[in-house]
Formats: sequence, structure tokens, C-alpha cells
Amino acid sequence: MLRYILKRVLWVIPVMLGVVIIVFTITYLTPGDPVMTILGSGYTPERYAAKAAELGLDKGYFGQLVAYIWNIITRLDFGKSYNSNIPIVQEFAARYPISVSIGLLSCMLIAIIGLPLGILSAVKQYSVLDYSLTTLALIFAAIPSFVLSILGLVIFGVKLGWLPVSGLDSFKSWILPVLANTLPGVAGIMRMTRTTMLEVIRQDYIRTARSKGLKESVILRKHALKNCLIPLVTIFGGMIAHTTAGSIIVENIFNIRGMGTYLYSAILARDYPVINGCVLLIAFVVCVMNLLVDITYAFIDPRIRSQYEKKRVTRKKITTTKAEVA
Amino acid sequence: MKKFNKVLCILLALVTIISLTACSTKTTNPGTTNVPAPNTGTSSGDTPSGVADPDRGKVIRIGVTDLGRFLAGIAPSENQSACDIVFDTSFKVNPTTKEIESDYFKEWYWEDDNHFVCKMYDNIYFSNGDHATAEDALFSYYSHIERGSNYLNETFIDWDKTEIRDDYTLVFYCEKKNRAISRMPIYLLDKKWAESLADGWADQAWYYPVGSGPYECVEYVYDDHMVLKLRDSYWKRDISEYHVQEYQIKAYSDMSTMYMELESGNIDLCEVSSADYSRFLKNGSEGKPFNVILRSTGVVYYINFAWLDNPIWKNEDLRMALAYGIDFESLGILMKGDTYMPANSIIPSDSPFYVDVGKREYNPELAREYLAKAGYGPGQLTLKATLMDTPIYKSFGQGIAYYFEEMGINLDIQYADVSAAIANWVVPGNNDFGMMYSISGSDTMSVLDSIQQAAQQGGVSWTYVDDDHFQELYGVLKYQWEDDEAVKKASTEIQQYTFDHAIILPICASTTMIGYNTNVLTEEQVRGFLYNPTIYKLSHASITAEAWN
Amino acid sequence: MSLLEIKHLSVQFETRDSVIKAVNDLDLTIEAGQTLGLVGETGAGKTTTALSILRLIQEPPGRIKGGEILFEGKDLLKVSNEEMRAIRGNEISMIFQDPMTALNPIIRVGEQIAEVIRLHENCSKGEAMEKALYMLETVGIRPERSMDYPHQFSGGMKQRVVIAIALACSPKLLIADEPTTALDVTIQAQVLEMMNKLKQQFNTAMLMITHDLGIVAETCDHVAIMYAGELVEYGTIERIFHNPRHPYTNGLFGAIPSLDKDVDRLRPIPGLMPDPAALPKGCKFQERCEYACDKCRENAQMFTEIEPGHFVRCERAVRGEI
Repeated sequence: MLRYILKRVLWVIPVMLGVVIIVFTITYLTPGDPVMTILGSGYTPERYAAKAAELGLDKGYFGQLVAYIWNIITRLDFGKSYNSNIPIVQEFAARYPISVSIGLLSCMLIAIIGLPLGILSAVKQYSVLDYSLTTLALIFAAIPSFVLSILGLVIFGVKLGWLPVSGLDSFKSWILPVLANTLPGVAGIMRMTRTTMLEVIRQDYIRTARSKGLKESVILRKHALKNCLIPLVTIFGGMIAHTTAGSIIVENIFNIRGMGTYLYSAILARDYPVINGCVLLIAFVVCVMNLLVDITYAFIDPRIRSQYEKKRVTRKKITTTKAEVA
Repeated sequence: MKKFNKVLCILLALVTIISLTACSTKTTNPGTTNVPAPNTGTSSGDTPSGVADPDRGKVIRIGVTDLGRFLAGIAPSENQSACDIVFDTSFKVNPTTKEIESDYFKEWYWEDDNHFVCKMYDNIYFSNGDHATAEDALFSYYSHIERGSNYLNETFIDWDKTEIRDDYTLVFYCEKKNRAISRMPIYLLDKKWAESLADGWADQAWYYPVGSGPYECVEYVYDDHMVLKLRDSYWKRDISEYHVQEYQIKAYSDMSTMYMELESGNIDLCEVSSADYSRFLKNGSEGKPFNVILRSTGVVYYINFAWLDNPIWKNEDLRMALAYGIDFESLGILMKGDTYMPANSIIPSDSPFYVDVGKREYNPELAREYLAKAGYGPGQLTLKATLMDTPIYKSFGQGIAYYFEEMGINLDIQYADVSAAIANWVVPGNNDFGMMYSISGSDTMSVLDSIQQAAQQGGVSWTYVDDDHFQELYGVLKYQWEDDEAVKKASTEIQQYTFDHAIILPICASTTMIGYNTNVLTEEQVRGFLYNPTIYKLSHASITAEAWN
Repeated sequence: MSLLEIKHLSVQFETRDSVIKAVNDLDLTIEAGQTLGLVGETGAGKTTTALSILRLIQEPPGRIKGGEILFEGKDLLKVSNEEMRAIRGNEISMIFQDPMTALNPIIRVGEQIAEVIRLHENCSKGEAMEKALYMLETVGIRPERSMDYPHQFSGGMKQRVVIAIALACSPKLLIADEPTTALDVTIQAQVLEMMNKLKQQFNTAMLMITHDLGIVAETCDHVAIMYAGELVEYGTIERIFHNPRHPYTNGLFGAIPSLDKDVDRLRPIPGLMPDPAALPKGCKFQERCEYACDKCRENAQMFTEIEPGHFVRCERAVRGEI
């Protein structure tokens, strides 16, 4: 198992390297002179040369690429924004925690609300409750989060004045953005949970569990839920990866200084170092989440786990069958 | 299935109830706020202009879509981040008196045909304590050239011969006498500070610049907000003259969020979309804590005749026919809707040189007479034009088609997307006429800028006015220096002449809307704030003391 | 008093546009310690009957329309859910058809056995696990393997685990729903042999559901032949095997290859079982019956005792015409 995890962790390296190369090459090929932008009024040919050397822009493509990767690895230095001249990692440090907090909070809420509702809906299939929940889920899944955000802002922010419209200054100001992130996710997870749960509770082993005389609640908790989690973990992993990378729409609407607004304004301004940094970060988070999903899989599902321990298992199997034959 | 329908009905009902309650609170809100407070004897609640509260407006919160940076661009208009209150400006127009003023030059004059002498105040201090000299002033001008700006090209300054005569006197050597040099707003920079930054220019100058103005940027969070605080002292004025203690400028990446913050009173001032808020112009604030005003953006839409491409326009009768045959007010309303603002001259109404030259009544009969006089019977004249397929051009095309038909002129309009239209426009002979708008100029240069396209060849082929007297007057505006009165006279005359002979036909002004918090600001104060809404002109507003008292 | 007595049991599956009558007016009796074979084609209602006894029919769409299921005199259709849970796995347990899917893939097999013991025998975790290990040993699996997961076992071993679960609480009645269908023939024999042995060891009555008459012959005391939701013939194993009277039963025997009789070719029963959503009037088997007459098509057939303990649902057989 440990070997498998190690192998998967090592796999992240070539993937990230590929992303870095693609991202860097695109920037390299786009026109523009960052040195000029940085120097501004202080331009002299000597300063230009000095700055270019400092930024490593006097080297060729490979030199720059190696320097770029080296700076990221050794100093976490993604360069500076063309637009603001602020080191990207400094902005990451200020913004990423905000996006992560909103994202994780949303994911937690999604899990806390979506899973039980989905299970309830599956267990009470064809009941009024099931119909209401699935209809609600359909409505929330169909409404894009920006519509929800604006609706929430108009009703609770402007008309009722209960919640602040933008920023993240108080506890209250977290409510709307987190909800706007959460509700469509809840709808998705609920429908997904319902479907997988329905599939699981029709399985033979659930019938076996019933024939043992177990209580329905025990059957759900012990036998159905874990089996139902396996497909959900994948969806959840992806969801965590992309919500923690910052929702461009929600952050823009609520004027939150997170990764979403950073990437958005960078794209509008063609601020390539920032776009690159954001893409790298997102790619990294996605890699890590995939890794975690796979490891979680193995922990939940012994069938998958044994695939990774194949050698040991087959050997064991041979010996046991021999023993049994004997 | 039936069960399902029932559930759906219940859900719909629930949604309706929720939205109804949300809407009904809106109508009850003003009722509750109108209840008079028992302890206040004066009816302060009834007068929104509010005389009582001395703290009112001490902190102004402004919403913008882009925070901008200080000194990042190469032209002053790109340095939009409240530069005018952080820095002193060489030349600017006082919006009230419409006279040219300077923050840091005590006096300025042409010594001869080439030497322009500028004498500075000797008591200018930057916020870092440095004392400003002519050295700094020259650096401020020169830094534009360094940054690759062609902004000063029209001033014909020869930098090699420009000299510092004494500590506070700067003498520009210009190849020829021109008005432009005393119209260029250049911010006074601290040379020592700028040079000490070396390649850290962007880190410091963009966010925490050292200026000699009354305010100082004390907090700048990229993409988020900045805070400008009134300094303890300002070399030029007693700071007690400034009422606003602090400007908080907040950036919103989504405009609708900014509008909602305005509506819920969290910002005091921001530009609003005319599509969403034009109804407030008609109905007033309806008891809400904010209101809007309509302002010209310093741009005028007008019809150009392709003088060079089609000689028929030399015939004044034909131009007159169009001047009478188009109802410019209706056309303007068609194009701008509720935000229509008439344009009674070719230059914007807030320009210091603006003259109201009046307007012609729509008269189709007279138009047809003029057309006949010009030698065209009904259906004998065909005019072609290519328009952009943007909403405003489409409305224009729609309106013009109607009036041309009334007059009996055949019209051949083609629509193209923006780049295709421009590609078409620059080729001579493609268009007989067109709709153009004046360049939004800096406040000191309005006359020149507004009609620049009409007065200079090159670029779009159909905007040039091939009329000797018009060009003669433009020449006076640009190069006449001995007599200021002559310039004023010429700018008045060029507007009158353009109207009288229908050289160019102005349609309407381009407008924008500013929303403001009525609990903090009054309409007069808001009008004092922004001369040109794309540039925050905060300095004027914060010292017009009479507006605050 | 019989151990299990089913009286007039009717089960339906109701979908939006049809009602499927899976079991119609079924009567069955199992005596303590005895084995009853329930034989019939796929879709005859055997599994439905078995699930009805445990009240495990999916509801909806399934519904027990009427009848009684008396277990030791107690009507299982009337007891509370709680009482029913106490009976399931404890007094009546069931072995399912497909061992591949009958075990929870993510729970260790030892725990899956111990779970039922802990539930019904009021003992500690450790004691339950000890007994689970003993059960594993009893069905021929080394106790060390209790920590393994189902996917680490072969089909036959999984079925042994299922049997271990079913017998863990020494039930009075064991329902075995085609316990060997999914297994290889050699493994089938092992499993059957083991079941027979264990049945005696635990003195358990058994309802053996199968379509394989060979298995019936090996394990059962009585046989009930089921067709389209009804019993068509019932009797002791000797009577049915030596003197089958219903044409369907005869057909079943004709469809089995035999080595000691010289038969040119197998005689499969022609046609298909009638659509349970649209059962024919009169005898359900008439469409496939070579002896069917007009009367068969008109009248519902009565389940008649033609000799002591031997019941047949065929008018012509009762009249001795077949």
C-alpha cells in the first residue's frame, strides 16, 4: 500500500512538469516586454539589461524554462504579475486561504446536507418527500450559481438588508457566497447519492443483511453507506479540487479577494505570469485531490486495495487453496 | 404522476410566497423610516441635503470597476487613480471659472517665440519632506518622454535646449509657439524619490507614490481597495479648507454587486449603468437612500459629411437640407433613450469653451426646398454609408433612414462589425457621410480635441472638413498665442460658424450616470466631484467648501 | 402442529400498467426437521414464496395480497416488524441463489458471520467472533481467513460463507434458494453434501428451492411442483418420482437426460410459461399440455388428493385419464 501511494505521489511530478512546460511555452510565445513594464519611468539601457538579467530573460527558451521551474521548486517563486508587479506567491498567500475556506466550507455543507437528503430520498423512494427533494434538487441544479447569487443578494442583501452585499468582513458575509457555492453542489450530490443509494439497496448483499434480521438503520449505516460512498468519493474529490481553486463567478459577484477574482482579472488583463501561476496551482490541487481520491478508494474498497497488493494476494491465495485441498 | 404535480404546485406556491414577502418588505421600508424621531426638534429627516451633521461626507466611499494604479501609464489620463489629489498638476481648468490654473507654477509666459517660462512656487514640499525645485518639474515632464509617451509631441519641446534658469524657474524651448504646452496636465514628481526607486518603480510608484498634493495613499490592496487620507499639512492651502478627510475607493469586479452596494448604502458614489437606472431620472429616488444624476462624458455624437470624398458637400444648400430635414432631438432619443442629452454645439457642454449656438427646428418642408435648391429632386440623390453593427449605430441608421425617406434621398446603408467598419472607413470614397463622436479629451484641450478629427487629415477618410474658414479658425485655436482673447473668440466663432453653415451636425451628447448616497452627498456635491467620470477629479470636490456647508 | 404452514398465500407485483400475479393461493407445509423441495421453472414464483416467508418482498411494487404464513402457529404476516426481525436469521434464515453478490464486498467475512450471531444471541463481540470462526470451520474454511474479504474467495467458498451465516444461529427453518445454481458441478456436490450434513447436525427443516430434480432426489423428503404461481403437484419424494401424475411433472422428468433409460432424445416441454400479468382462464398449463381438453380451458383446477399425501392440480389426472 505504501509503495502504491509513493508511486502515485511520484507520478504527480511528470504531470506537473508537463503542465509547467505547456504553460511556460505559451507565455514565452506571447508578445510583450515585461522588463519595460516593470521599469516604467526608470528606464535606461543599463537598467534594462540588469533587470533582464535579474529576471533571467536574457537566457534562451530552455534557460528560462529551467529557471522558471527552479524558482518555483526552490523558492516557490512564480514570478511577478505584469499588471501589479506584486509577487504572485504573495497574492496566493493572501487569496488562496480565502478560496480554500469558502471551498471547504461549501464542500462540508454539501456533504452534510446532500448525503443525508440523497439517502433519505432513496430510502423513501416514490414518497412525497422523495418527489419534493428530487424536484428541489432539479431546480437548484438547473439554476446557475450566479443567478442564485444575485437572487440572494437582491433579496437578503438589498431588500431585506439582513446580509452584507460584498466582502468577507463578518461572519454574516460568509453566508451568501458559501450558500451560492453550496446549493447547486448539494443538488448534484443529492441526486448522485440517491441514484447510487438506490442501486446499492437493490443489491443482493443488502437482502442478505435483511435476512439476517438487521435493523434498516444498521443496514443503511453499515452495509449500504460505505458501498454508496465509492462513486461519490470521485465526485467529491473533483468538487473539492475545483471549489477550493475559487469560484470565478461567485467570487466576482460577492467581490471576494480570492483565487477566482485573481484569475479572472488576470485573464482579462492578459497577465500571463498570474494565469500561469493559477493554472499551475489548480493543476497541482487537482493532482493532489486525484491522488487522495485514489487512496481513499483503496481504504474504502478492499477489492481495489487488493489490486495494489496483487502479488501478495495471489501468493496467499495459492497457499490457502492448497491447504484447503489438503 | 399526480402526486408529482401536486408537489410541483406546492413548490411553486412556496416560491411565489417567498418572493412576495421579499418584495413587500421593500414597500414597507420607506414607511418605517419616515416615522419622525421623537427627540429631534428640527425636521432633519425631511431635508435630504442635511445641514446639521458636520461629519456628513467626511469619509467618501467610492465604487469603481478598476482601481487603477498611480503613474503606471504613459499619458496622464491613464494615471487615473486619484492622481489629481495626490499630486499637484501643472495646468488644469477650474471647472467653475473655466480659467486655466496651475498648482505648482506661480506664473507662466512666452518670453519670445520659442521660450516658455514657468516659475514655480518656492515652498513646495512632497509628502516625504523633500523640497521641490525646477529640477523636479523638469523631471516630471521628461519622465513622460522616457516612458515612451508621445503625449507632449504637440508642444514641440526641444529637450536639449530646455533649461533650468534658477531653482524655481523652468524654461521650455519650443520649436514654435503653441497653446498645447500650457494645457498639458503634468503631475509634479520628486526626482530624488523616483531615482531612488530605480527598478523598484512599479512596487512603489504604482501604489504608494510620493506627491505634493493634499492627500496621500495610505493603504492599497491590489484589486480590492485603497484609502486616501488628507495629509497633516499641504504647502499650498490650509488643510481645514478640505472637508473630506478620507476617500475609500473600492474595486468591484462585478458591476451589479457595486450597484447593490450603492443601493444598500455601503458606498456613496459610483458610476451606474444607464440601462438599469435611467428610470430614476424620471421618477426620482422613490424614497430610496440613493439617487442618480446624468452627466455628459465629454463626447458628442455628430454627422460628418465626407467633404474630401464627395464634392457635393461643398454645396451649403444640401447641408442645410439635412440640417432641417433631421429631427435631432427625436434621433437622439432614439439613440440614447432616457439618457438623452441635447448637444447644441460640436464641443461638449462642460468644456470651458462651450457656446450654446442654439438649434434648428425640424422642418421637412424647408428641407425639401433646400434640396430642390441644391438641384436634387425627390429620389435623385443617393448617399451611402457603412455603419458599425453596434446598438447605437443601428438606432442611428434606423432613424436616419426615416428622415432620408421623408426628404426623398435614397439611402444605401451597410452594417459591419467594428473592425470591418473601421477598415471600410479608412478607405477614401467608401462613404458619403457617417456618424462619428468626438474624442474624449482632457479638460484643458476640449476645443482642439473635440474637433481634431474634423480638422486633421488622416485616419477615417470622411471626417475631415474641407472648408477653408473652418480650417483657418482651427489654426487660430492651435497656434495663436499672443492674444488669449483671440483664442476665445476663435473658439466661439468656430462653433457658431459650424452651426450656421451646417459644417458638422451634432446629434446629442454621450452621457453617463452617477449614483450617489443621498444621506452622504447632495446633488451639487456630486456634480462638483467629477469633471470627467473616467478620471476621478476629487480635488475640486473636496475643497468646494460652500457645497459642504 | 407443523413447523411452517402456508395457507392461501397470494403475492402480486403491481406496476403502473399491469398486475403480475406471482403467487396464487398457495398452500405448503413443512414439518420440523424435514426437507421440502420446491421445484419449478424460472418465474414460477418459487423465490417470491421464499421471500414472502421472510417478508422480504420489495414493497412496492410487491404486495402480499392475502393468506397466512404460520410459523410454529404464529402468522408471520401479522407480527410486528420487530418480531419479524427477531425471527429472520435466527429462526428462519435463507441462502441466496448467487453467492457472488450475496456477500457485502467491503466487510470482512468473519464480521459478516459474527454480525448475525451478535444480533440474535446476546453475546459479546469476542464470543460472537469465536462462534463465527467455529462456523467457518464447520463449513470447511480455515478460520484464519475470517479477516479476508469476499472477493478473495472462490464462488463455492463464498457459498459456504453464506451457509455459515444462515446456520450461525441454528435456525429451525432454512430456506435455500437454488443454493448451487451458480456453482460448478463438482463444487455443487460438495456444497450439497455439506448442507445435508449440517442440516442433520443442526436438526434444521429446509425449504429447498430448485429447478434441478436431481438435487431434490438427493436432499428432500417431500416435493412440491410449482407452475405459474400455483402448486401443481405435491407428495413424498417416492410418490412424485415413481408416480408423477401431473403432465407438467411428467414433462419435467422427460426433460432430464437419463443414462439408464434408452431414450432417443429429450422431450422438452413445448412453449413458454404464460405471462403472469395475463394468466389464462382454467388450467394454467393448458397451453403447453398435450392432454388439455375443453374442460381444462374452462374450469379452474382443484388441488386434489389422489392418494394419501399426494396432491395434483389436474382434472384429468384426478379422473385417472392420464
